Amino acid sequence: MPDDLGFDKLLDDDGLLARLLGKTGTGRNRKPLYGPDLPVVLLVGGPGMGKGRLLRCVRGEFGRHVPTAHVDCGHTVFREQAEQQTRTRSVATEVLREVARQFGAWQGDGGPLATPRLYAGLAAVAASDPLADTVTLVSEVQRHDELLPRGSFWRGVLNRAGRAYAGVVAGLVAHPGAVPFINAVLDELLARTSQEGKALLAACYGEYTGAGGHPKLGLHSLASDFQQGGEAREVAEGFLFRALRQDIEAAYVSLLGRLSRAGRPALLLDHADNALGRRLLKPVLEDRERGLYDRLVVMATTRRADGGRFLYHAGDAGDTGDDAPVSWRPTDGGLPQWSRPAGGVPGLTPLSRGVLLVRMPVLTRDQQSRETARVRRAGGAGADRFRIDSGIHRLSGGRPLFVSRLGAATASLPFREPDDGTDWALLDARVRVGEEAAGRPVADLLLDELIVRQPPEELPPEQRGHWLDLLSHLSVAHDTECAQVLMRAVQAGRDERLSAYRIAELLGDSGWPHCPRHFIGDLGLRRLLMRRLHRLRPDGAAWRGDHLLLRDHYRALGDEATDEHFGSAAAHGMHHHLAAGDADTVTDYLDRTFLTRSARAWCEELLAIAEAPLLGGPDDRQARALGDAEIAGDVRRKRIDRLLHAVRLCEDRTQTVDDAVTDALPKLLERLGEEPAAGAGTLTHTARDFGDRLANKQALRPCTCTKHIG
Amino acid sequence: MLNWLYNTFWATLIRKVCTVLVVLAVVVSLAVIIPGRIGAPEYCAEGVERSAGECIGVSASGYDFGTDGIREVTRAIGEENKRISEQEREGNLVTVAMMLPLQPKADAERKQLRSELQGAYLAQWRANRTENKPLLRLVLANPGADYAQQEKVVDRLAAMADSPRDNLRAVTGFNLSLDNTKRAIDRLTNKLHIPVLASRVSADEIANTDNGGALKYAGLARIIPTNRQQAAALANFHGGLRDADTVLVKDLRPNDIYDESLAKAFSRPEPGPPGPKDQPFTSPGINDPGDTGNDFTFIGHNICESDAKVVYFAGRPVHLRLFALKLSEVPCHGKKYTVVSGSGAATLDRYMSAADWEKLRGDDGGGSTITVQYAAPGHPDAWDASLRTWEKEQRARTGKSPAVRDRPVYLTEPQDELRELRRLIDREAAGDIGPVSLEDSRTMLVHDGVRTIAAAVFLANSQAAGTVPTRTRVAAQWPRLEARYRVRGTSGWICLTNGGNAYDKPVAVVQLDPATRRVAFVGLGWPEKKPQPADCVVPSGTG
Repeated sequence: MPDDLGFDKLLDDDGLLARLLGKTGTGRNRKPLYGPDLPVVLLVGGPGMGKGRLLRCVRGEFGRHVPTAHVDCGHTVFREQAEQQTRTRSVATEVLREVARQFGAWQGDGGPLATPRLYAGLAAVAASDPLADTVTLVSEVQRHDELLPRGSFWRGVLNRAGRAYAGVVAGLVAHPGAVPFINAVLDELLARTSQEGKALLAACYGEYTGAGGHPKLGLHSLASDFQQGGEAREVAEGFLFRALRQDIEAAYVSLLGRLSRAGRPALLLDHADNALGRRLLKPVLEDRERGLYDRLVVMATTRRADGGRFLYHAGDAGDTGDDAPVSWRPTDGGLPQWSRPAGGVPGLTPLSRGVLLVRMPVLTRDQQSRETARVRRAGGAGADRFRIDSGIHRLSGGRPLFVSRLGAATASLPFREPDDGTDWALLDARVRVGEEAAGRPVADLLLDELIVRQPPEELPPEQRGHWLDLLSHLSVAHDTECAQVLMRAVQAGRDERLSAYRIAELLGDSGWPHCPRHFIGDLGLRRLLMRRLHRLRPDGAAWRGDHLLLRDHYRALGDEATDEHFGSAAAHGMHHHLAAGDADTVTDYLDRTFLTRSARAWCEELLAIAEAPLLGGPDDRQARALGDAEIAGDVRRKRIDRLLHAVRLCEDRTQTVDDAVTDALPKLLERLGEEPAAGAGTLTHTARDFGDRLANKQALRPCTCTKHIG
Repeated sequence: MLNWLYNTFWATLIRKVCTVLVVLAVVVSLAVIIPGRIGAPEYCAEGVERSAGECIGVSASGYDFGTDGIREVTRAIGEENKRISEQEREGNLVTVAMMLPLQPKADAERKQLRSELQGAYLAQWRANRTENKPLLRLVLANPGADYAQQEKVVDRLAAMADSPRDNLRAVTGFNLSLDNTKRAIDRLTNKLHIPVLASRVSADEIANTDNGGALKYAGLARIIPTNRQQAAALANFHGGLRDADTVLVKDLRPNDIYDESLAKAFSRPEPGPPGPKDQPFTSPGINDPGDTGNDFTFIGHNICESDAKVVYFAGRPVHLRLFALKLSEVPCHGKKYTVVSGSGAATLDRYMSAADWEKLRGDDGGGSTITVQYAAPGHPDAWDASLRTWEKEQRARTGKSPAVRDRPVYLTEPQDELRELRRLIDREAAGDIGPVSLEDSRTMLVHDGVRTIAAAVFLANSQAAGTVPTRTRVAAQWPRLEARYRVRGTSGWICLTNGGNAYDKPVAVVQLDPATRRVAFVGLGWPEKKPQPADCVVPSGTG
């Protein structure tokens, strides 16, 4: 997959990125967008939408012309480093150190960005542990040496501090409670810095709570807050980040900076929807809300559609008032109009005011075709290109990872023409991974990449093992009630259970879309999970079992219990019954209700029931739809049976439907109107409506998750 | 590529500033330089452009053309020009151009050049202090080595002649008889009608004939005898030599009409049995000895075998020196030669080193093997020595010393003139013009030339006082300069024929005296076999 696949609008010379960074990918200057108050740009999109890829693109293309720092908040290395010395390090300080190191390595226009303020803060924190021995403290402080600007007055501070401390330690024996190490370091630091250095430290750390303009006091407070842990440590970390941003800002506003630098520096935070990401984003948002502006373009990826719950006050999520973040998708055209809403009290208003949500674009059909054609060129021509392309489109819905994996699977490995011509066969295509010669089915690979490797942050660790299984079972569920029944049954033997409601939240946190009529709202993911469920136990036993369980559940509710999506519980039950493989009973049910339900309600139920997916087992739908099969019963029952199977074929959406079926369907429905009992008018009208929909290849029963098809 | 340019030169403010500054600097300097380069050539000084490594053009400001040794005199000329232009209203001055190569390479040539410029300047200085109007402005025109770029200079002179500010009325100089010289004089006289006075060109080709026919160069005047006249004068001086006693050595280098005319003059029939045949050689250049030394050695052996004692040498001084030295080296049973050459040999002493003099003097104490004799256009000792000779003759004839008033005027007037010039030089009244040496006669000749021009201009002006005479009027005065209006030159009377030639101008037969290392005056030679007539009336039949 080319890195910039689908990002043309974002990356082009007048796109959002070029305007945010003030430079195009080729280095041309552009008038910077917004400013001096900048939004934190959140790249929003579910798994496989290319958020990380976009950041890599920015790093790769724009990183040549503006300083960029790229941090993957999902990496465990920061945590591991922090855990080596928990009293003088935290994940946030490690990330800040990494960011400063990357900015310090900038070799383009203007040269490295020096970070003396951050260094002073980190040194104070490193020297702050009152319990550690001298050797540890000295080495902790010296760890940050690489952040010192080269050849400046900051050099050599540490060595002298260490020597001074040797004298202090000698005195400590005689006078317990003499100056602690941090004082020695800070004294040295301030004694060694020039007037200019003192001034900038005073301007920065003099602002710390309780410092009163004295940098030494400020650094002291910072260090002790850090030692205190909890919220105080978070404040200290936030302040360290502010110091880093002031360093960067200073590098740009100095005379030399103005002359030799152009554009804006960028901080790219991948996987920023975890605790670390929030810890980094929060202080930026708070500072900017307070009016402490800087020119660092912070871009973070997040999976939740609203950007993350920490942006909103509890209970306000989804608020459409002034404080709702600006949301923009590249297909909207133009550039997002962002400005901080007027008014608001810093600290009381939600952080969402300072956020610009950029929704990751899905691939258009053209982009999908180009990508598959590109992959196919590398792997040889496929036979039925258009059918495979449309299958990929149906399954992926434009999700780039989906498109590229399916394209590669259908092109690079010997992919035979699918025997049954359905999308299920596409998912069976094998893709080579690593050393495996035979490869593995692309469906398994996709599930691995989309679900297993990106579990929701709040998923309890003990649930991680069977998270995929849970979702597989839930692939047959529709609403949360339905899902809850399944969850209770599946987790029957467990102490810690996940409720369907919780799972729905977790899916939302993971960035999966919501569909009112399907518990798993993404069509492609649902198909992957269904396929997995069907293969969970031999002969689709798990699949059948889940459907039968649900059928029994709804049957037990009684025929007349209403159901939001199916009209009645009986219809819901019949849906699962049909999915379990018994069509005759369903025909009987429909035949029976044809006389009792209103024509409109009956049609609704028919559509809802016929949506049942067919997975495994013989496919006699076409034969039965066209009346080629032997069906018992009277003419009406036969017609209803044909109609049921015709609708089922048309609603399956895993293959192209034979024209004979689509032609027959409206006629069958209309003929049913000849029956004396039926509302002939309604049926005729509906028949006409279905005919139109089929002609336009639209779904008979529109749904959020299938609207990209057609 | 475009992106690279942008990122390198335009990406940040400081890059923009630097780029703009550099571009501005380049554009400004180009704007300053290019218009000067395109269309207009590079200038050495005002009116003098740089062309093919030389400074070609006309200068009135005292520019020395970068030549060592002439700085003092050019500065003096510049100051004199400045003085008179301040003194006189613009347009009332008459410009005289001194056209000759002003950037010679050899040290000897530079000394010659200095002598010539000194003569011109001294004449200008004197003319501007005679109460006669208009005043003379002297400009120096450099046509490049060997007059190669004379066309440009002539163009410029033409413009100056037409300009009412400059009023160029005569061109003098012309110290080399070359094809280019001939072309320049041809164009100046016949096309542009600017009077030309050739002060040191002796070639017969650059002269009008005095047979009354159409003038080859209308408006050309010359003040030294042509080569043929000089040869005639030399021959007359030597009396009748038999053909067997003489041999001619001639340079065949093309385009040197000095050599050609000299060879022609020496080839005139002589009585007696035939002598040895002509001995030709070809030199690579006027001042380039090349490998002529070998030729001369062989020629010397051949001559030794013959009866010839007098060697006519038709060549330039550089080759003459070499020939004399080689001839003296050839052992020839104590035979002594007299080498006779043209006026160009006047500068021979400038090419002679101490060792050369030693050789010519002879090592055996038997007197010099070689005596180089030639016709110099003038010699500072000429008048004193000739008068002494005349007095001796008179005393021998009459037995008593002649009276002062009986002294021939053709000797006493040039003597007075030369004395005047000497006094001027000794007093340094005309300012510092560098060391002056009169021996090579160049100072005298050029001085006389400019005096002649001044005489013509004053004469023309006297007919219509107050205005600057036209060019044709000045040219028309050349034939008037005889008899009463004869020019009393330091090198003798100058009485111009209708063809513009100096009638019966005496030549100074001189020889190189190894003892004094100087050019010794031998006697006066008269092209017409007898001295100039009384009052210098040009007789009928001479044009």
